[in-house]
Amino acid sequence: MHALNRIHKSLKPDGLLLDLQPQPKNSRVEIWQDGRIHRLGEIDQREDHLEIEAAMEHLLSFEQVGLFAAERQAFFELLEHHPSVESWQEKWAEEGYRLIAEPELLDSAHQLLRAAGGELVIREPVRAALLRRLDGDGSNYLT
Amino acid sequence: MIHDLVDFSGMRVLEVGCGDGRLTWRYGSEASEVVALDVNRKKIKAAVEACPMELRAKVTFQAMDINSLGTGEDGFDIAILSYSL
Repeated sequence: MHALNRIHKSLKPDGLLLDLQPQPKNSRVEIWQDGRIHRLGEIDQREDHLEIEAAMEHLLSFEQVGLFAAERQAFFELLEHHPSVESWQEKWAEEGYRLIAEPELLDSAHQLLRAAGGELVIREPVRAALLRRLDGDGSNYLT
Repeated sequence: MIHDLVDFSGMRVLEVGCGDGRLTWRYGSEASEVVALDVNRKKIKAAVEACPMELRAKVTFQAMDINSLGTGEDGFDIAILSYSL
């Protein structure tokens, strides 16, 4: 059973679902040093975008059959802080995330951090969507 | 940000994909009860260890998939699905 089906069952009638998902956009990489921000560019997450879009479509299909109704949404950026490029790479490898970045971007990050310290910051665009549980005609979704 | 969207006061909350609990700490004090799930045992262990003392009586972390949740535990007011679709 898909997570959404089980969540629908686990909620009280009229219960709320708060869905937090990354947006299908590339995250941006910055170096923060003593109040200065060096914007180095974006990482390539096009492969992840396909999975994110598929997840969003799946959620939308639950709305279309009347099992959830969108109430509100908000967009924000999740900031991830790392002391070094290696720490970022290790963390993402551990999490199983794909890290595809131009070598120039990684070189710039290395050089800036070596020269004057600071931290590497990843800005990830995220969507928070609030949906209300309904009892629509979606029985074939709830098997 | 999440508090702008939903009021957790007195609510029974299911969190799917809780990771190391860093989101749980942000609303746990307002909720009446929290069941937080993640399939990653290491992360659940970290969440249990880092759980603030004042939340320990009402937050339960479990290393499991949502489909393994017993139906006897249903009846949540709010479900949070965090990076888990």
